[in-house]
Amino acid sequence: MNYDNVTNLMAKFVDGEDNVSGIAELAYFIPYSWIEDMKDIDPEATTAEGVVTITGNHVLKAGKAPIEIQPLFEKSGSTFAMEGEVLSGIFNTGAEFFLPNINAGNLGTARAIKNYRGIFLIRRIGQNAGFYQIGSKDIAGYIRNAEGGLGVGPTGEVGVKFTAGAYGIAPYFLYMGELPAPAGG
Amino acid sequence: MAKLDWVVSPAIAGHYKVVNTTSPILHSKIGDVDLRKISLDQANEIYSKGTMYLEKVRLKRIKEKPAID
Repeated sequence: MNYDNVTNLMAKFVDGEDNVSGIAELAYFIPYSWIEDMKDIDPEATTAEGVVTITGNHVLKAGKAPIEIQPLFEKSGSTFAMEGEVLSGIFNTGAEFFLPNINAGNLGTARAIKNYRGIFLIRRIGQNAGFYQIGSKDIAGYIRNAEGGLGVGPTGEVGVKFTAGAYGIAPYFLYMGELPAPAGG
Repeated sequence: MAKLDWVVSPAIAGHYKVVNTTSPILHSKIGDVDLRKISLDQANEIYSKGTMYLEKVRLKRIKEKPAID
């Protein structure tokens, strides 16, 4: 994609918007193989917003629902950084989801999702529509690490921390399509 | 299609039916909605933006019998 047709490139500060650090305590992982029709950005986009925004709907295969992750706000988040050579960089975007529970459900989920490629959907605090998407049609996201344990002593940390991430041509994609919540959600 | 174990909002009954999901929560293009409490205005807006989770209910036309003089 070439950006010569993009007419409104500008990095600006917007007054008066919520701008809280951290991610909301709701995130999803959707394996590639569960998606019937995965949407991407419009290759003809002519706005700065358009080159990162996915407006179509990811359609899941029959009977499939996103895998819900409920990260603890205080110990979860997402960052990105550029990697690569001069003028040929790529974004490495990561997310950490900490769940302060060691139970069969979380352990089973850790066991299962570590070998799937897919996309992660996360939200900022106060965000009610759409998601920030990590991973895309081009480059999959996956669980890069899962660590944790039962803690050590009275002040130890109990739980599971999933480290997720993906390389991408954009720091994040904005998924503005619709998505059904999992039945329990 | 699995039967829903919850009741769709009465506000959209007769106008829309919920399809392709068994979850009462939908992350829609206008924001998160609870399909148990959704208003008709919200449903109309979601439908107008394109959704695969709401289907318009077609009203059956009743053929009028010709009047007998």
